[in-house]
Amino acid sequence: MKPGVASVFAVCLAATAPAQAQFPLDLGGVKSGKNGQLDLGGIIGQVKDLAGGQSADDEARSGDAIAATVFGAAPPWRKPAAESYVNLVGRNLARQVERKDVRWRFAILDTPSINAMAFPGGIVVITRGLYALLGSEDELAAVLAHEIAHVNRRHQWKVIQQQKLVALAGNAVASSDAGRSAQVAADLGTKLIARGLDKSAEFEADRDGVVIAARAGYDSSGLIAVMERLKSLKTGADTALLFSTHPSPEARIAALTAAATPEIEAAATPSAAGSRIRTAQ
Amino acid sequence: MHLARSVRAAAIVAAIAISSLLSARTAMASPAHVRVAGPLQAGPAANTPAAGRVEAGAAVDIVQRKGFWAQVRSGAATGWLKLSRLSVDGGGAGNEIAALASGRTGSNNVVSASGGRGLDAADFARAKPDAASVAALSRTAAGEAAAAQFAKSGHLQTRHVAYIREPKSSGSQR
Repeated sequence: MKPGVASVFAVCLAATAPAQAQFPLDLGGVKSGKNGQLDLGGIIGQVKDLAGGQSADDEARSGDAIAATVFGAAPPWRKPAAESYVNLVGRNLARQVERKDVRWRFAILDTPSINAMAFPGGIVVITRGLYALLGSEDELAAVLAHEIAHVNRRHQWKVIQQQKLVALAGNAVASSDAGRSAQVAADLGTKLIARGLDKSAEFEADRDGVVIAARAGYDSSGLIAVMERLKSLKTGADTALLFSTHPSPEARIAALTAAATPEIEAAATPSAAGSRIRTAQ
Repeated sequence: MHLARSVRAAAIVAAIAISSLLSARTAMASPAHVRVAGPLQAGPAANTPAAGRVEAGAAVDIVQRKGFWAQVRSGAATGWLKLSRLSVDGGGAGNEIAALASGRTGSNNVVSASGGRGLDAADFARAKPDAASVAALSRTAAGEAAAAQFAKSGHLQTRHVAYIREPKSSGSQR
């Protein structure tokens, strides 16, 4: 048994400990051996599958399933010029990050809601409402780079994997069934969109995103401009999900500005490509 | 008689119009408060000469934003402060800063509510998965070469920039 696997298992048992306090040895429906004995090898195999292994494939499958659910709620906006434009801006930004095992695909959601999201495996979406609000390609790059940073750091995927481990120990997942396992990941991922990531992950994606945009040649202060626009919005139905899942624009401006290095500040000039967005909006 | 009165009335109307124009101009500067005391810089960078000093709590007017800096007026002094040292007053102020920075005003910054409910958790919960739309993304995705060409045609110059480390204490902001 690898020490890593053992410690992951210990963590997931610890995570469910309060719920099982009265039945400390009850592992419930975790796969049992033929004669009713605990099948430790089977459990370790299941944990191993979830903890690592075919991770990039799992990640992409789960991300695609989450995106399918989101498209079921708001379909992609079929406007070829805009679709193509957002894919070019996004793909060019993605060249600036370390991960190469990602199939980057970008889409605009046909909804007036104002938001952008990333799914494990490389699908990034921006809503039509946010897209229409942006004033330059530098601002679009800022939004997409923030989402690319989430995928590059596997922010969502890490949370989904942890929750799957807990679900396994709590007997909610029969992970030997790969299809069921992917479905559980997709369900967890969809709930995660509604609940949001930790604030620290959002601030990290802000810092990374600004760097990614600057590397590609965009205005490093593009995200500040986007935050100023978000600040001017009234809270309402169209911004409810965005504002409930992210720190306030004021807090993000303050954190980003305080963290900005001289190198980043020197890159705070509008790019030559800024106005291209007009023809694609 | 009548003529003189209407001339006088017209003059008053004109004066009101001019003064409201002037006040509309000054209203472009948005009010803010200094959160962290320190020097005002002569330009939007820390390595520019000092141009005065502002104390915490001081009321200032933001003249314009440039990158991570705001040009502010504080009494007789004008200078630049990092945005993290300011808190902007009032709801619509951010809008004005964005307008000042981009040279655009008004309509495009105003978001019309859709009138209905926004996209939310309930929509995802009852959504019927649309796998066909996911598959279709592969057809609209851009390749690496096309993206490189796109960058070139936009005259985007790549830069070497290191990731920003997480600040040690998020409380101290300068």
